[in-house]
Amino acid sequence: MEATWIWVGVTIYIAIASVTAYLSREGKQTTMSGYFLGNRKMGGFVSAMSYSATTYSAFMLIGLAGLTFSGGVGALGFELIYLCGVTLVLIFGPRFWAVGNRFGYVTPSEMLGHRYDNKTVAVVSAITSCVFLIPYAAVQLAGVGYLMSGMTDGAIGFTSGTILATILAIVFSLVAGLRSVAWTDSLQAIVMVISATLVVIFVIFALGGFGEFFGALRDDHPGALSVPGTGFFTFSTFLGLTLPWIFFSISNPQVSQRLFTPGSMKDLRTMLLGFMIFGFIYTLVSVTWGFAALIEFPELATGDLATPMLLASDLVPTVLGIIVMIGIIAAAVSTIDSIMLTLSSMVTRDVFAVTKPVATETQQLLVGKLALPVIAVLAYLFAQLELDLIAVLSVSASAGLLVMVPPIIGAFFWKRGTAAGATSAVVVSGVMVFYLEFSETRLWGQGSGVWGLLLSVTLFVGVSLATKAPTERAALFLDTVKGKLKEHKAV
Amino acid sequence: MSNPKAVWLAAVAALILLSYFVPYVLLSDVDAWYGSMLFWTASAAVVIAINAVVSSSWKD
Repeated sequence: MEATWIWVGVTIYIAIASVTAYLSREGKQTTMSGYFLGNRKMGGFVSAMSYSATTYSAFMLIGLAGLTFSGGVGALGFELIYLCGVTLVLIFGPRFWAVGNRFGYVTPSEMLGHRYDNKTVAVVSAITSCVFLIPYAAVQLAGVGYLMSGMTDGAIGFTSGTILATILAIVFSLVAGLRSVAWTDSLQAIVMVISATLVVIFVIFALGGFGEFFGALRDDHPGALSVPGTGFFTFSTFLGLTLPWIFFSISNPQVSQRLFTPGSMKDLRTMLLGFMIFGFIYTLVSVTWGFAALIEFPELATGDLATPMLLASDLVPTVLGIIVMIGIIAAAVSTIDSIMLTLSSMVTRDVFAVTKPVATETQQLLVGKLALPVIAVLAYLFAQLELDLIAVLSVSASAGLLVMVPPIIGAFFWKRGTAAGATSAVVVSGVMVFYLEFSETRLWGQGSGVWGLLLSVTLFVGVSLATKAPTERAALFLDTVKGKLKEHKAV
Repeated sequence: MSNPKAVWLAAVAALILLSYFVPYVLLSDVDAWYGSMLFWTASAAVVIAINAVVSSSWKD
Protein backbone atom coordinates (compact mmCIF):
# COMPACT_ATOMS: atom_id res chain seq x y z
CA MET A 1 0.00 0.00 0.00
CA GLU A 2 1.20 3.53 -0.79
CA ALA A 3 2.70 5.36 2.19
CA THR A 4 0.88 8.52 1.07
CA TRP A 5 -2.52 6.92 1.68
CA ILE A 6 -1.48 5.85 5.14
CA TRP A 7 -0.36 9.37 6.01
CA VAL A 8 -3.65 10.83 4.69
CA GLY A 9 -5.58 8.37 6.88
CA VAL A 10 -3.42 9.13 9.91
CA THR A 11 -3.93 12.88 9.45
CA ILE A 12 -7.73 12.50 9.30
CA TYR A 13 -7.65 10.29 12.41
CA ILE A 14 -5.52 12.78 14.37
CA ALA A 15 -7.88 15.62 13.41
CA ILE A 16 -11.08 13.80 14.43
CA ALA A 17 -9.62 12.34 17.63
CA SER A 18 -8.17 15.71 18.68
CA VAL A 19 -11.57 17.40 18.27
CA THR A 20 -13.17 14.57 20.29
CA ALA A 21 -10.59 14.96 23.06
CA TYR A 22 -11.12 18.73 23.11
CA LEU A 23 -14.93 18.41 23.26
CA SER A 24 -14.71 15.91 26.13
CA ARG A 25 -13.45 18.59 28.53
CA GLU A 26 -15.86 19.51 31.27
CA GLY A 27 -14.70 22.52 33.25
CA LYS A 28 -11.25 22.63 34.83
CA GLN A 29 -10.30 19.51 36.75
CA THR A 30 -8.49 20.42 39.94
CA THR A 31 -8.77 17.20 41.94
CA MET A 32 -7.14 13.82 41.50
CA SER A 33 -10.47 11.99 41.20
CA GLY A 34 -11.76 14.64 38.79
CA TYR A 35 -8.81 14.17 36.45
CA PHE A 36 -8.03 10.47 36.82
CA LEU A 37 -11.54 9.11 37.46
CA GLY A 38 -13.76 11.53 35.52
CA ASN A 39 -15.19 12.68 38.88
CA ARG A 40 -16.62 9.13 39.39
CA LYS A 41 -19.45 10.17 37.08
CA MET A 42 -18.72 8.26 33.88
CA GLY A 43 -21.72 7.01 31.89
CA GLY A 44 -22.24 3.32 31.15
CA PHE A 45 -21.85 3.33 27.38
CA VAL A 46 -18.68 5.43 27.24
CA SER A 47 -17.29 3.33 30.09
CA ALA A 48 -18.03 0.12 28.16
CA MET A 49 -16.43 1.34 24.96
CA SER A 50 -13.45 2.78 26.78
CA TYR A 51 -12.98 -0.41 28.81
CA SER A 52 -13.04 -2.33 25.52
CA ALA A 53 -10.57 -0.01 23.82
CA THR A 54 -8.24 -0.15 26.82
CA THR A 55 -8.33 -3.94 27.01
CA TYR A 56 -8.30 -4.74 23.31
CA SER A 57 -5.34 -3.13 21.72
CA ALA A 58 -2.91 -3.70 18.92
CA PHE A 59 -2.35 -7.01 20.68
CA MET A 60 -5.80 -8.20 19.69
CA LEU A 61 -5.86 -7.54 15.97
CA ILE A 62 -2.18 -8.19 15.34
CA GLY A 63 -1.21 -10.52 18.17
CA LEU A 64 -4.32 -12.67 18.35
CA ALA A 65 -4.63 -12.94 14.56
CA GLY A 66 -0.94 -13.85 14.55
CA LEU A 67 -1.42 -16.43 17.27
CA THR A 68 -4.28 -17.99 15.28
CA PHE A 69 -2.06 -18.03 12.20
CA SER A 70 0.73 -19.78 14.10
CA GLY A 71 -1.22 -22.05 16.43
CA GLY A 72 -4.78 -22.44 15.16
CA VAL A 73 -8.03 -22.44 17.10
CA GLY A 74 -6.31 -22.56 20.52
CA ALA A 75 -5.98 -18.78 20.12
CA LEU A 76 -9.78 -18.53 20.19
CA GLY A 77 -10.00 -20.63 23.34
CA PHE A 78 -7.32 -18.53 25.00
CA GLU A 79 -9.11 -15.25 24.34
CA LEU A 80 -12.62 -16.53 25.15
CA ILE A 81 -11.44 -18.02 28.44
CA TYR A 82 -10.13 -14.55 29.26
CA LEU A 83 -13.57 -13.14 28.40
CA CYS A 84 -15.25 -15.66 30.72
CA GLY A 85 -12.81 -14.52 33.42
CA VAL A 86 -14.27 -11.01 33.16
CA THR A 87 -17.12 -12.48 35.21
CA LEU A 88 -14.84 -11.49 38.12
CA VAL A 89 -16.20 -7.98 37.54
CA LEU A 90 -19.57 -9.33 38.60
CA ILE A 91 -18.02 -10.06 41.99
CA PHE A 92 -15.37 -7.36 42.32
CA GLY A 93 -17.00 -4.54 40.31
CA PRO A 94 -19.60 -3.59 42.93
CA ARG A 95 -17.02 -4.04 45.70
CA PHE A 96 -14.37 -1.76 44.13
CA TRP A 97 -17.07 0.75 43.25
CA ALA A 98 -18.53 0.78 46.76
CA VAL A 99 -15.26 1.23 48.66
CA GLY A 100 -14.00 3.72 46.06
CA ASN A 101 -17.04 5.91 46.71
CA ARG A 102 -16.88 5.48 50.47
CA PHE A 103 -13.13 6.00 51.03
CA GLY A 104 -12.23 8.14 47.99
CA TYR A 105 -9.62 5.82 46.47
CA VAL A 106 -8.05 6.99 43.22
CA THR A 107 -5.93 3.90 42.51
CA PRO A 108 -6.30 0.18 43.27
CA SER A 109 -2.95 0.23 45.08
CA GLU A 110 -4.19 3.06 47.30
CA MET A 111 -7.12 0.79 48.16
CA LEU A 112 -4.76 -2.04 49.15
CA GLY A 113 -2.61 0.31 51.24
CA HIS A 114 -5.68 1.55 53.13
CA ARG A 115 -7.25 -1.89 53.54
CA TYR A 116 -4.08 -3.43 54.98
CA ASP A 117 -3.44 -0.24 56.97
CA ASN A 118 0.08 0.12 55.63
CA LYS A 119 1.42 2.56 53.03
CA THR A 120 4.24 0.23 52.00
CA VAL A 121 1.65 -2.07 50.44
CA ALA A 122 0.49 0.81 48.23
CA VAL A 123 4.05 1.81 47.26
CA VAL A 124 5.07 -1.76 46.48
CA SER A 125 2.03 -2.56 44.35
CA ALA A 126 2.33 0.77 42.49
CA ILE A 127 5.99 0.10 41.65
CA THR A 128 5.25 -3.50 40.62
CA SER A 129 2.55 -2.20 38.28
CA CYS A 130 5.06 0.17 36.65
CA VAL A 131 7.69 -2.55 36.24
CA PHE A 132 5.30 -4.82 34.38
CA LEU A 133 3.01 -2.34 32.63
CA ILE A 134 5.63 -0.18 30.97
CA PRO A 135 6.75 -3.21 28.88
CA TYR A 136 3.09 -3.90 28.19
CA ALA A 137 2.63 -0.35 26.87
CA ALA A 138 5.81 -0.83 24.85
CA VAL A 139 4.23 -3.88 23.25
CA GLN A 140 1.43 -1.67 21.96
CA LEU A 141 3.91 0.81 20.53
CA ALA A 142 5.76 -2.00 18.82
CA GLY A 143 2.41 -3.08 17.37
CA VAL A 144 2.04 0.26 15.62
CA GLY A 145 5.58 0.04 14.31
CA TYR A 146 5.08 -3.45 12.88
CA LEU A 147 1.77 -2.50 11.31
CA MET A 148 2.95 0.65 9.57
CA SER A 149 6.11 -0.90 8.20
CA GLY A 150 4.26 -4.09 7.23
CA MET A 151 1.55 -2.27 5.32
CA THR A 152 3.87 0.05 3.43
CA ASP A 153 6.60 -2.50 2.74
CA GLY A 154 8.95 -0.54 4.96
CA ALA A 155 8.32 2.89 3.35
CA ILE A 156 7.18 4.06 6.78
CA GLY A 157 9.65 2.71 9.31
CA PHE A 158 9.11 0.96 12.64
CA THR A 159 10.50 3.98 14.51
CA SER A 160 8.19 6.54 12.85
CA GLY A 161 5.17 4.45 13.85
CA THR A 162 6.24 4.15 17.47
CA ILE A 163 7.06 7.87 17.77
CA LEU A 164 3.67 8.81 16.36
CA ALA A 165 1.80 6.55 18.82
CA THR A 166 3.82 7.90 21.77
CA ILE A 167 3.02 11.53 20.94
CA LEU A 168 -0.69 10.84 20.46
CA ALA A 169 -0.94 8.95 23.76
CA ILE A 170 0.65 11.88 25.60
CA VAL A 171 -1.69 14.43 23.96
CA PHE A 172 -4.92 12.48 24.50
CA SER A 173 -4.25 11.87 28.17
CA LEU A 174 -3.09 15.41 28.92
CA VAL A 175 -6.11 17.21 27.40
CA ALA A 176 -8.69 16.19 30.02
CA GLY A 177 -7.37 13.13 31.84
CA LEU A 178 -9.75 10.19 31.90
CA ARG A 179 -12.51 12.07 30.09
CA SER A 180 -10.44 12.73 26.95
CA VAL A 181 -9.02 9.21 27.11
CA ALA A 182 -12.48 7.66 27.46
CA TRP A 183 -14.04 9.67 24.65
CA THR A 184 -11.22 9.05 22.16
CA ASP A 185 -11.32 5.39 23.24
CA SER A 186 -15.04 5.19 22.48
CA LEU A 187 -14.59 6.75 19.06
CA GLN A 188 -11.90 4.20 18.25
CA ALA A 189 -13.86 1.22 19.60
CA ILE A 190 -17.01 1.97 17.63
CA VAL A 191 -15.22 2.63 14.33
CA MET A 192 -13.10 -0.43 14.85
CA VAL A 193 -15.74 -3.03 15.67
CA ILE A 194 -17.77 -2.00 12.62
CA SER A 195 -14.88 -1.84 10.16
CA ALA A 196 -13.17 -4.99 11.46
CA THR A 197 -16.42 -6.93 11.09
CA LEU A 198 -16.78 -5.59 7.54
CA VAL A 199 -13.32 -6.95 6.76
CA VAL A 200 -14.46 -10.41 7.87
CA ILE A 201 -17.51 -10.22 5.60
CA PHE A 202 -15.39 -9.15 2.60
CA VAL A 203 -12.73 -11.78 3.23
CA ILE A 204 -15.16 -14.67 3.74
CA PHE A 205 -17.05 -13.63 0.62
CA ALA A 206 -13.82 -13.38 -1.42
CA LEU A 207 -12.74 -16.81 -0.23
CA GLY A 208 -16.01 -18.39 -1.37
CA GLY A 209 -18.18 -18.36 1.78
CA PHE A 210 -18.00 -20.15 5.14
CA GLY A 211 -18.16 -23.64 3.60
CA GLU A 212 -15.11 -23.02 1.42
CA PHE A 213 -13.35 -21.19 4.23
CA PHE A 214 -13.54 -24.04 6.73
CA GLY A 215 -13.05 -26.59 3.94
CA ALA A 216 -9.73 -24.97 3.00
CA LEU A 217 -8.63 -25.01 6.64
CA ARG A 218 -9.54 -28.67 7.05
CA ASP A 219 -7.90 -29.82 3.82
CA ASP A 220 -4.78 -27.63 3.65
CA HIS A 221 -4.07 -27.04 7.33
CA PRO A 222 -4.83 -30.14 9.37
CA GLY A 223 -4.81 -29.42 13.09
CA ALA A 224 -5.79 -25.74 12.71
CA LEU A 225 -9.25 -26.36 14.15
CA SER A 226 -8.30 -28.56 17.11
CA VAL A 227 -5.96 -28.47 20.11
CA PRO A 228 -3.14 -29.35 20.54
CA GLY A 229 -3.61 -29.51 16.76
CA THR A 230 -0.36 -28.58 15.04
CA GLY A 231 1.44 -28.84 18.37
CA PHE A 232 1.78 -25.10 19.03
CA PHE A 233 -0.83 -25.06 21.80
CA THR A 234 0.37 -27.81 24.09
CA PHE A 235 -1.69 -27.93 27.28
CA SER A 236 1.01 -26.26 29.38
CA THR A 237 1.44 -23.46 26.82
CA PHE A 238 -2.33 -22.96 26.82
CA LEU A 239 -2.48 -22.92 30.61
CA GLY A 240 0.49 -20.56 30.87
CA LEU A 241 -1.16 -18.15 28.42
CA THR A 242 -4.70 -18.28 29.80
CA LEU A 243 -4.11 -18.24 33.54
CA PRO A 244 -2.81 -14.64 33.76
CA TRP A 245 -5.61 -13.47 31.51
CA ILE A 246 -8.43 -15.02 33.54
CA PHE A 247 -7.50 -12.60 36.32
CA PHE A 248 -6.67 -9.68 34.00
CA SER A 249 -9.79 -7.70 35.02
CA ILE A 250 -8.67 -7.42 38.64
CA SER A 251 -4.89 -7.78 38.34
CA ASN A 252 -4.33 -5.02 35.77
CA PRO A 253 -4.78 -1.60 37.37
CA GLN A 254 -5.59 0.20 34.10
CA VAL A 255 -8.83 -1.77 33.96
CA SER A 256 -9.52 -2.38 37.67
CA GLN A 257 -9.19 1.38 38.27
CA ARG A 258 -12.13 1.78 35.87
CA LEU A 259 -14.30 0.03 38.46
CA PHE A 260 -14.07 3.25 40.52
CA THR A 261 -15.38 5.44 37.69
CA PRO A 262 -19.03 4.61 36.78
CA GLY A 263 -21.62 7.10 38.00
CA SER A 264 -24.03 4.41 39.24
CA MET A 265 -24.53 0.65 39.54
CA LYS A 266 -26.58 0.79 36.36
CA ASP A 267 -23.59 2.35 34.59
CA LEU A 268 -21.35 -0.36 36.04
CA ARG A 269 -23.67 -3.03 34.63
CA THR A 270 -23.74 -1.38 31.19
CA MET A 271 -19.95 -1.24 31.28
CA LEU A 272 -19.64 -4.93 32.10
CA LEU A 273 -22.17 -6.27 29.59
CA GLY A 274 -21.25 -3.79 26.85
CA PHE A 275 -17.63 -4.84 27.17
CA MET A 276 -18.41 -8.57 27.10
CA ILE A 277 -20.50 -8.32 23.93
CA PHE A 278 -17.87 -6.15 22.29
CA GLY A 279 -15.14 -8.60 23.28
CA PHE A 280 -17.06 -11.57 21.98
CA ILE A 281 -17.47 -10.02 18.51
CA TYR A 282 -13.93 -8.69 18.43
CA THR A 283 -12.43 -12.06 19.37
CA LEU A 284 -14.28 -13.92 16.62
CA VAL A 285 -13.25 -11.23 14.14
CA SER A 286 -9.54 -11.39 15.05
CA VAL A 287 -9.43 -15.18 14.92
CA THR A 288 -11.14 -15.20 11.51
CA TRP A 289 -8.48 -12.77 10.25
CA GLY A 290 -5.77 -15.13 11.42
CA PHE A 291 -7.38 -18.09 9.67
CA ALA A 292 -7.89 -16.06 6.49
CA ALA A 293 -4.20 -15.16 6.47
CA LEU A 294 -3.32 -18.82 7.01
CA ILE A 295 -5.37 -19.80 3.96
CA GLU A 296 -4.12 -17.01 1.73
CA PHE A 297 -0.51 -16.50 2.87
CA PRO A 298 0.63 -19.73 4.52
CA GLU A 299 4.30 -18.89 3.91
CA LEU A 300 4.50 -15.79 6.15
CA ALA A 301 7.69 -15.63 8.21
CA THR A 302 5.95 -14.58 11.42
CA GLY A 303 2.37 -14.54 12.71
CA ASP A 304 2.65 -10.82 13.49
CA LEU A 305 2.57 -10.15 9.74
CA ALA A 306 -0.78 -11.91 9.24
CA THR A 307 -2.93 -8.82 9.82
CA PRO A 308 -0.83 -6.33 7.81
CA MET A 309 -0.67 -8.76 4.87
CA LEU A 310 -4.41 -9.40 4.97
CA LEU A 311 -5.32 -5.70 5.12
CA ALA A 312 -2.96 -4.82 2.27
CA SER A 313 -4.20 -7.70 0.10
CA ASP A 314 -6.76 -7.68 -2.71
CA LEU A 315 -9.27 -9.39 -0.43
CA VAL A 316 -9.98 -6.11 1.38
CA PRO A 317 -11.05 -2.85 -0.36
CA THR A 318 -8.24 -0.26 -0.05
CA VAL A 319 -10.30 2.33 1.83
CA LEU A 320 -11.51 -0.25 4.35
CA GLY A 321 -7.96 -1.54 4.77
CA ILE A 322 -6.76 1.98 5.58
CA ILE A 323 -9.64 2.63 8.03
CA VAL A 324 -8.86 -0.59 9.88
CA MET A 325 -5.15 0.07 9.86
CA ILE A 326 -5.69 3.52 11.36
CA GLY A 327 -8.13 1.85 13.80
CA ILE A 328 -5.38 -0.48 14.96
CA ILE A 329 -3.01 2.42 15.50
CA ALA A 330 -5.80 4.12 17.47
CA ALA A 331 -6.31 0.87 19.41
CA ALA A 332 -2.67 0.86 20.46
CA VAL A 333 -2.87 4.52 21.45
CA SER A 334 -6.09 3.96 23.43
CA THR A 335 -4.42 1.21 25.45
CA ILE A 336 -1.21 3.14 26.01
CA ASP A 337 -2.88 6.36 27.15
CA SER A 338 -5.02 4.47 29.68
CA ILE A 339 -1.96 2.67 31.05
CA MET A 340 -0.04 5.95 31.24
CA LEU A 341 -2.93 7.63 33.03
CA THR A 342 -3.19 4.81 35.56
CA LEU A 343 0.55 4.58 36.16
CA SER A 344 0.91 8.33 36.62
CA SER A 345 -1.97 8.33 39.10
CA MET A 346 -0.20 5.54 40.99
CA VAL A 347 3.19 7.24 40.95
CA THR A 348 1.55 10.38 42.27
CA ARG A 349 -0.92 8.95 44.77
CA ASP A 350 0.99 5.96 46.05
CA VAL A 351 4.61 7.08 45.82
CA PHE A 352 4.83 10.90 45.70
CA ALA A 353 1.97 11.58 48.16
CA VAL A 354 3.38 9.00 50.56
CA THR A 355 6.89 10.44 50.54
CA LYS A 356 5.47 13.98 50.77
CA PRO A 357 2.29 13.77 52.87
CA VAL A 358 1.82 17.57 53.01
CA ALA A 359 1.30 17.81 49.21
CA THR A 360 -2.07 19.31 48.26
CA GLU A 361 -4.40 17.80 45.62
CA THR A 362 -3.29 20.53 43.18
CA GLN A 363 0.37 19.65 43.71
CA GLN A 364 -0.39 15.94 43.32
CA LEU A 365 -2.23 16.63 40.08
CA LEU A 366 0.70 18.63 38.72
CA VAL A 367 3.11 15.79 39.51
CA GLY A 368 0.68 13.36 37.84
CA LYS A 369 0.66 15.42 34.65
CA LEU A 370 4.46 15.66 34.64
CA ALA A 371 4.77 11.89 35.13
CA LEU A 372 2.68 11.15 32.02
CA PRO A 373 5.29 12.03 29.36
CA VAL A 374 8.09 10.43 31.40
CA ILE A 375 6.23 7.09 31.45
CA ALA A 376 5.51 7.43 27.72
CA VAL A 377 9.19 7.94 26.88
CA LEU A 378 10.18 4.90 28.97
CA ALA A 379 7.67 2.78 27.04
CA TYR A 380 9.02 4.16 23.77
CA LEU A 381 12.59 3.17 24.68
CA PHE A 382 11.44 -0.33 25.55
CA ALA A 383 9.61 -0.62 22.22
CA GLN A 384 12.85 0.10 20.36
CA LEU A 385 14.15 -3.27 21.54
CA GLU A 386 11.82 -4.85 18.91
CA LEU A 387 11.28 -8.06 20.88
CA ASP A 388 9.69 -11.04 19.17
CA LEU A 389 6.06 -12.13 19.02
CA ILE A 390 3.84 -9.46 20.49
CA ALA A 391 1.42 -11.81 22.23
CA VAL A 392 4.04 -13.63 24.25
CA LEU A 393 5.64 -10.46 25.59
CA SER A 394 2.28 -9.00 26.41
CA VAL A 395 1.35 -12.07 28.41
CA SER A 396 4.61 -11.80 30.38
CA ALA A 397 3.40 -8.45 31.67
CA SER A 398 0.13 -10.03 32.72
CA ALA A 399 1.96 -12.90 34.43
CA GLY A 400 3.84 -10.31 36.46
CA LEU A 401 0.65 -8.58 37.61
CA LEU A 402 -0.90 -11.90 38.55
CA VAL A 403 1.11 -11.83 41.79
CA MET A 404 -1.20 -9.07 43.07
CA VAL A 405 -4.32 -11.19 42.76
CA PRO A 406 -4.14 -12.94 46.19
CA PRO A 407 -3.84 -9.65 48.16
CA ILE A 408 -6.70 -8.16 46.07
CA ILE A 409 -9.01 -11.12 46.66
CA GLY A 410 -7.91 -11.24 50.30
CA ALA A 411 -8.79 -7.57 50.77
CA PHE A 412 -12.46 -8.39 50.22
CA PHE A 413 -12.73 -11.97 51.43
CA TRP A 414 -10.18 -12.66 54.17
CA LYS A 415 -10.04 -10.53 57.29
CA ARG A 416 -6.84 -12.25 58.45
CA GLY A 417 -4.81 -10.87 55.52
CA THR A 418 -1.96 -8.61 56.64
CA ALA A 419 0.33 -5.95 55.17
CA ALA A 420 3.37 -8.21 55.60
CA GLY A 421 1.54 -11.01 53.77
CA ALA A 422 0.54 -8.71 50.90
CA THR A 423 3.97 -7.07 50.59
CA SER A 424 5.94 -10.31 50.63
CA ALA A 425 3.54 -11.92 48.15
CA VAL A 426 3.91 -9.06 45.67
CA VAL A 427 7.65 -8.45 46.06
CA VAL A 428 9.01 -12.01 46.25
CA SER A 429 6.68 -13.49 43.62
CA GLY A 430 7.12 -10.42 41.40
CA VAL A 431 10.91 -10.80 41.50
CA MET A 432 10.59 -14.51 40.72
CA VAL A 433 8.36 -13.88 37.68
CA PHE A 434 10.78 -11.22 36.48
CA TYR A 435 13.68 -13.66 36.82
CA LEU A 436 11.83 -16.50 35.02
CA GLU A 437 10.87 -14.20 32.15
CA PHE A 438 14.30 -12.60 31.94
CA SER A 439 16.13 -15.93 31.91
CA GLU A 440 13.46 -17.60 29.74
CA THR A 441 13.16 -20.40 32.27
CA ARG A 442 10.18 -22.74 32.25
CA LEU A 443 10.19 -24.77 35.45
CA TRP A 444 8.70 -28.24 34.81
CA GLY A 445 7.37 -26.90 31.52
CA GLN A 446 5.04 -24.34 33.12
CA GLY A 447 4.97 -20.60 32.42
CA SER A 448 6.04 -17.89 34.90
CA GLY A 449 2.43 -16.92 35.70
CA VAL A 450 1.62 -20.35 37.11
CA TRP A 451 4.58 -20.23 39.50
CA GLY A 452 4.07 -16.57 40.34
CA LEU A 453 0.47 -17.18 41.37
CA LEU A 454 1.29 -20.28 43.42
CA LEU A 455 4.11 -18.56 45.29
CA SER A 456 2.01 -15.44 45.84
CA VAL A 457 -0.88 -17.44 47.34
CA THR A 458 1.50 -19.35 49.60
CA LEU A 459 3.30 -16.25 50.85
CA PHE A 460 0.16 -14.19 51.30
CA VAL A 461 -1.56 -16.87 53.37
CA GLY A 462 1.54 -18.10 55.24
CA VAL A 463 2.98 -14.70 56.21
CA SER A 464 -0.49 -13.31 57.04
CA LEU A 465 -1.12 -16.15 59.48
CA ALA A 466 2.21 -15.47 61.14
CA THR A 467 1.63 -11.73 61.56
CA LYS A 468 -1.00 -9.55 63.23
CA ALA A 469 -3.98 -8.53 61.12
CA PRO A 470 -5.23 -4.89 61.05
CA THR A 471 -8.46 -5.91 62.82
CA GLU A 472 -10.13 -2.51 63.06
CA ARG A 473 -9.40 -1.47 59.48
CA ALA A 474 -10.46 -4.85 58.14
CA ALA A 475 -13.76 -4.58 60.02
CA LEU A 476 -14.42 -1.06 58.75
CA PHE A 477 -13.61 -2.04 55.16
CA LEU A 478 -15.54 -5.30 55.14
CA ASP A 479 -18.57 -3.84 56.94
CA THR A 480 -18.70 -1.09 54.34
CA VAL A 481 -18.61 -3.67 51.56
CA LYS A 482 -21.32 -5.76 53.22
CA GLY A 483 -23.63 -2.81 53.75
CA LYS A 484 -23.20 -1.42 50.24
CA LEU A 485 -23.71 -4.82 48.56
CA LYS A 486 -26.96 -5.24 50.45
CA GLU A 487 -28.07 -1.73 49.55
CA HIS A 488 -27.36 -2.30 45.84
CA LYS A 489 -28.52 -5.93 45.74
CA ALA A 490 -25.20 -7.27 44.45
CA VAL A 491 -23.53 -10.61 45.24
CA MET B 1 -25.86 -23.50 47.78
CA SER B 2 -29.21 -21.90 48.50
CA ASN B 3 -28.22 -18.57 46.98
CA PRO B 4 -29.19 -18.68 43.28
CA LYS B 5 -26.47 -16.17 42.41
CA ALA B 6 -23.85 -18.49 43.88
CA VAL B 7 -25.17 -21.27 41.66
CA TRP B 8 -24.76 -19.04 38.60
CA LEU B 9 -21.20 -18.16 39.60
CA ALA B 10 -20.40 -21.84 40.16
CA ALA B 11 -21.74 -22.52 36.66
CA VAL B 12 -19.29 -19.97 35.23
CA ALA B 13 -16.41 -21.59 37.10
CA ALA B 14 -17.49 -25.00 35.79
CA LEU B 15 -17.67 -23.71 32.22
CA ILE B 16 -14.16 -22.26 32.50
CA LEU B 17 -12.82 -25.62 33.74
CA LEU B 18 -14.67 -27.42 30.94
CA SER B 19 -13.07 -24.99 28.47
CA TYR B 20 -9.77 -26.70 29.28
CA PHE B 21 -11.02 -30.24 29.61
CA VAL B 22 -13.42 -30.66 26.69
CA PRO B 23 -11.22 -29.30 23.83
CA TYR B 24 -8.04 -31.05 25.05
CA VAL B 25 -9.59 -34.37 26.00
CA LEU B 26 -12.88 -34.93 24.20
CA LEU B 27 -12.52 -32.82 21.06
CA SER B 28 -8.80 -33.10 20.30
CA ASP B 29 -9.53 -35.29 17.26
CA VAL B 30 -12.42 -33.21 15.91
CA ASP B 31 -10.61 -31.00 13.40
CA ALA B 32 -13.63 -28.96 12.22
CA TRP B 33 -15.65 -25.83 13.06
CA TYR B 34 -18.15 -27.88 15.07
CA GLY B 35 -15.40 -29.05 17.45
CA SER B 36 -13.48 -26.87 19.92
CA MET B 37 -14.34 -23.70 18.02
CA LEU B 38 -18.07 -24.19 18.57
CA PHE B 39 -17.58 -25.34 22.16
CA TRP B 40 -15.58 -22.28 23.20
CA THR B 41 -17.88 -19.88 21.36
CA ALA B 42 -21.04 -21.36 22.88
CA SER B 43 -19.52 -21.45 26.40
CA ALA B 44 -18.55 -17.77 26.19
CA ALA B 45 -22.05 -16.84 24.98
CA VAL B 46 -23.58 -18.68 27.95
CA VAL B 47 -21.20 -16.95 30.37
CA ILE B 48 -22.21 -13.53 28.97
CA ALA B 49 -25.88 -14.45 29.44
CA ILE B 50 -25.19 -15.47 33.06
CA ASN B 51 -23.52 -12.10 33.65
CA ALA B 52 -26.64 -10.36 32.32
CA VAL B 53 -28.90 -12.42 34.59
CA VAL B 54 -26.87 -11.98 37.77
CA SER B 55 -26.34 -8.23 37.32
CA SER B 56 -30.02 -7.64 36.53
CA SER B 57 -30.79 -7.35 40.24
CA TRP B 58 -28.31 -4.48 40.83
CA LYS B 59 -30.07 -1.37 42.16
CA ASP B 60 -28.92 2.22 42.65
